[in-house]
Amino acid sequence: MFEDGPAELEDLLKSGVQISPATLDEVTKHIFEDVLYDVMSSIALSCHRSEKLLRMSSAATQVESLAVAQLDSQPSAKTAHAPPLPPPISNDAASWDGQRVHLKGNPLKTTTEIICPHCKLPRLKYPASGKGAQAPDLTKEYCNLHPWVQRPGHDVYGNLFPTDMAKSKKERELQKQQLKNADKESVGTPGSQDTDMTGEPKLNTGGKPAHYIPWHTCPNCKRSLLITRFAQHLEKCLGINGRQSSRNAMAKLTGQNGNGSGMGNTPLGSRMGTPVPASQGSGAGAKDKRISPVKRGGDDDDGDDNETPEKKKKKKSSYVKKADRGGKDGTLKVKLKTSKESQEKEAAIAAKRLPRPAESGSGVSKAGGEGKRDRDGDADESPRKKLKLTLSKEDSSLSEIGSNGLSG
Amino acid sequence: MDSIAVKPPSGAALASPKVTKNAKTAAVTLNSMESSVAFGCEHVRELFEEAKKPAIRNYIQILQAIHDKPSIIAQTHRSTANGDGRSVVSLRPLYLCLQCPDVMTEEVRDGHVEVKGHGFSVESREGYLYCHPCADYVYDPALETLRLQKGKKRKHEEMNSPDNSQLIRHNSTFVPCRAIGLRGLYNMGQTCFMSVILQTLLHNPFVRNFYLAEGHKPADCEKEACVSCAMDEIIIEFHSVEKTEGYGAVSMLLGSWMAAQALAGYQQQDAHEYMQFILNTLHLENGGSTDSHGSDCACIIHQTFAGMLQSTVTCDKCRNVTTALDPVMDLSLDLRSQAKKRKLQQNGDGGEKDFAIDIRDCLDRFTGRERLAAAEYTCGNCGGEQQNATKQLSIKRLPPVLPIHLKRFEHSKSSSSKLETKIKFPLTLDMYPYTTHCKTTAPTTKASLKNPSLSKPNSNQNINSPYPSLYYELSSVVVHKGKIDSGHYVSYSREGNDWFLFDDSKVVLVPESEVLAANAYLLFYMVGALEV
Repeated sequence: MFEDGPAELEDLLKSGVQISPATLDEVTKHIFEDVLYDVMSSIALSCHRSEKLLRMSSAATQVESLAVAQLDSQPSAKTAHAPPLPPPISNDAASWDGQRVHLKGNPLKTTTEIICPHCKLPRLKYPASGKGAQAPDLTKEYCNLHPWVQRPGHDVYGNLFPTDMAKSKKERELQKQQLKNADKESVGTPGSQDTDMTGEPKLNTGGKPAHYIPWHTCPNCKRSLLITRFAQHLEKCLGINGRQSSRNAMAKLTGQNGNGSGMGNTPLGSRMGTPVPASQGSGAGAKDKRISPVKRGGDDDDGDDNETPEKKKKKKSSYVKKADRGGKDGTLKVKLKTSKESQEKEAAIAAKRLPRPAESGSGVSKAGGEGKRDRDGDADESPRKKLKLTLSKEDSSLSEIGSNGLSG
Repeated sequence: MDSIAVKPPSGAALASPKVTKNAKTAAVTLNSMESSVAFGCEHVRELFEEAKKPAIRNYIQILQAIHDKPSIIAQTHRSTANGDGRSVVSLRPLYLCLQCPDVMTEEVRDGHVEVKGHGFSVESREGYLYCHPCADYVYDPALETLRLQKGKKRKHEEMNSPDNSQLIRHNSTFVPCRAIGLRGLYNMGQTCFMSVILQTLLHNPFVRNFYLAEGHKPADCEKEACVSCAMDEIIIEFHSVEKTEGYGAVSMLLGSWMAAQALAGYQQQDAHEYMQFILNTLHLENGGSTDSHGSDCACIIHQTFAGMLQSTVTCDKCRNVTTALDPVMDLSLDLRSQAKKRKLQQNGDGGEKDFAIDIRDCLDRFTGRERLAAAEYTCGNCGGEQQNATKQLSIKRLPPVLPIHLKRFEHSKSSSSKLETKIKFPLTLDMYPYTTHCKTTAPTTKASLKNPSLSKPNSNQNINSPYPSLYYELSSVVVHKGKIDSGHYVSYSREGNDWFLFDDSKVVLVPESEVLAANAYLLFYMVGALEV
C-alpha cells in the first residue's frame, strides 16, 4: 500500500515535481502489487462465495430432510389445504425451528458435502474422467448433474464424440457380435445406461455409444431415416429439389397416380397436372380444368370446388419452388413439355398474354407471404437458365445481401 | 462481479430450480421444500433480531458510498503507520465498519472488535459482508439482494412473496437435475448454420425464459410447420429430459424451409441470413405483424433484439441537421477499411509487430463522422443546393441483446472473398461511447479524445460502477471456418460463467481464452444489468 494514489501521482508529474527513477520504480512496483492483489482477492472472493452458498443450501437440505423424515414417522393426518410443517429439529450444521432453517457455525467447516437441493443426493465433486478426475465412490448414489468432463475426444458428459461413419448392416452386426464376446469377459459396455450391472455398478452418464446415430421420422412421408441424411431426404420429400427434371418426373409420376385428374397429388409448384389425352385439341377452353387445383385454391376468383376435400383449417404455407419463381417480376415460370398439345397451348397462352402486363412483384416475396400467382399466362418467358448456385437476390426476403457466406 | 438479472452467480447457475407443474399431490413432500437459510450466520441473526432496520440502513449507505460516490471516499483510511493518523488512499480493499464510520485496513479491522465491539464490516470493492465472530465472509440472503442491487431501490416488488412460494411448493416438482439445456444438435446434412443460430437462441435467457414460461403454446397454435412451435419443442425437451446426446431438430428444419423459400434445400447457407430469417419468423409468429418494427412491436424478439440507429447529416454550410431513425436488429460492421488501414500502418512502420484490430475500432468507425461529397447530399435549408456534409451514425436505442455481424464476406463483380482478419473482442464491452447520448453531449476536443473518461459528461469517478457507461457482456460467438462457398460453423455460448463449444452434436467445455482467441463472425453481447 503506497501513499500517493494514481490521481495524485499524475498531478505531481504534471506539476513538474522531480521524482528520481528509483522512486518511480518503487512506486510502480507497489502499485502493480496492489492491483494484482485486488484482482486476485476478487476472484478468490467470488469462488468463496459460490462454494459457501452451495454449502449453506446443502446444510439446509440436510436438516430439512431430517425434519421431513420426522414428519413421515408420525402418523398424523395431512390435510389437503394446510399440510403441517415439520417440528423443530437440529443437527451439527443447522437447525429447523418449525418454519425456517438457521445455520450453526460456518458451513465451510460443518458441511463437507454438497447436496443437490432438488434430488437431495450428494453431488460429485470431481469429474469422473479427463482433467482433474477422481474415481467416484460407486457405493453411493449421486445426483445426476455431474461436474463437466474435460477430456479430448469426449463431450462434457464424458461421452465419446459420435463418429459419423454410417455402418452398413453387416458391419454393425459384426460389431455387436464383438461386443457380446467382449461382454462375456468383462463387465459393462461403453456408454451404458444402467447403474446396476452384474458386478460393479457404473456411473450413469447417459448418452449413447459413439457409433449411434438416431433415426427420425419424416413428418411428411412418415418414413424413418438416419438423421444425417435428413436434409437430403426432406428436400426430395417436399419436392424442392432444384432440379427441374426431377420435379417434372415427380409431377408425371403423381399425375399418373391420380389418373391424370391432378387432384391433390400434384406437388406444390407444378402448375399443370398431367395433360389428359382426351382433351387434345380443345385449346383454351379446357385449359381451366387442367390447372392444378393447388393453384386454383390459392386464387379467389375461381369458384371451382375441385379442391382437395380435406382442406385443413391450418394455414397452408404458400411455397413456391425456387426455379419456378420468375425473375424480377415475380411471375411464375413453368416449362411445358414440347409436345403437340402443349405447343398449341403455348400459342394460345401467348396470344392471351400479350396485352396483359406482367404482374409486378419485384422481389416483394415475403417470407411465408402469398405470392400473387398469375394463373394464366406466365408460362412463356424465354426459358431462363437459372443457375441454381447463385441465390436470387430478389427472392431472398430479408437482408440486403451484401455479405453472404455459405456454409453448412 | 455479480449483476442483477442477467448473469447468475457461478455454481449456483447449475442449481437454479426449475419446476414443472405437478397436479398430483398437495402434501408437503421431500421435493418441494426450499433449501434456503434464513440468515447468513448465527451472528447476523442476532444482529437482525436486535437492530434490523439500522443495520440495513447502514448497509445501504455503505453500498451507495461504494457504487455511487467517487471511489476515493471508500478507499481512504487513516493511516496508523507513522503514528500521525493522516489520510491515505489505498489501492487494496479496505473494510468499512457497519456500525460506525470507521474505514480500516485488514489489520485494524481485526482489532476493531475489541476496541468497539462492532462485529461486522463491509469490504470496500464489492460490498461483501465480513463477520468477525465467524472470521469469514458471510452471505446473508437479505443483504445479498441489497448488495447485488448496488444499493439502489427496486422499483418492482419482490417476486417471491410467501403466497407464491406456497403455491409453487404445493403444485410443482423439480425437473431432472441434468436437464439444464446443454445438448448438441445433430447435423442433418449441411445444417450447421442452423445449429449455431439455434444454440445462441437457446442460451439467450430472454428467449429461453419466454418459451419456458409457455410464451407460445403449441396446443393453441394452428399453424402448420410453425417455427415457434418447433423452438418451443426444443427448449422444453432440453430442459425436461435427461438425455445427454444430441437432438435432431427436424421440425425446426421443416418449419424453416416452409417459411423461407430462399433458404430451403440441401445446401449450405449463411448463418447471418438465417438469423435474420428466424428472428423475423419468430416475430411474426409471436405477436408481431409485418408492419410493426423496432421497439413498437411487443413481441419477444423485438423486445430482445431490436434497437434503433440514428443517422445525422450536418450540412457544412448552414449547419442544418437532418436526422433519420432506423430500426435495426443487429449491427453489421465493415472490416475491409480496417484491414487496409492496418496494412498501411504496417508498411509505413517497416515491419512493426502487427497489433490486431479490436472490435472497438470497428465500432468507432461505424459511428464516426463520415464526409459526404457534395454530389451525394442536397441541403434543404440552403435552398436545395448540393453541399458537402458530414454524416454520423449513432445508436439511439440499445437492445438488451446486441448481435454484431462482422462483414467477412465480400462480393464484387469479379470475385467473392472471405476476410480472415483476426478481430479482437472483449468479454465486457462498454457501449456508451457509441450511443447518441454520448455523441451529442460529449465535447470532442483533442484532450478528451486522449482521455476517454474526461469526455463522459458527469463522470462519477467511481471505478466499480462508472457512470456513464453501459456494460455489455459477451454471451455467444459464432465462428465460421473454411472458404466462402464451403465451410463449417461452430458456436461458443456462455452458461453462467462457463463457456461451451457447440460443434453440431458435440458439446465441450472450453476456457475463456479459447473463446477470445476465436475468429468471430457473429458476436452476441448481452446487457450486464437491467434496471428493474
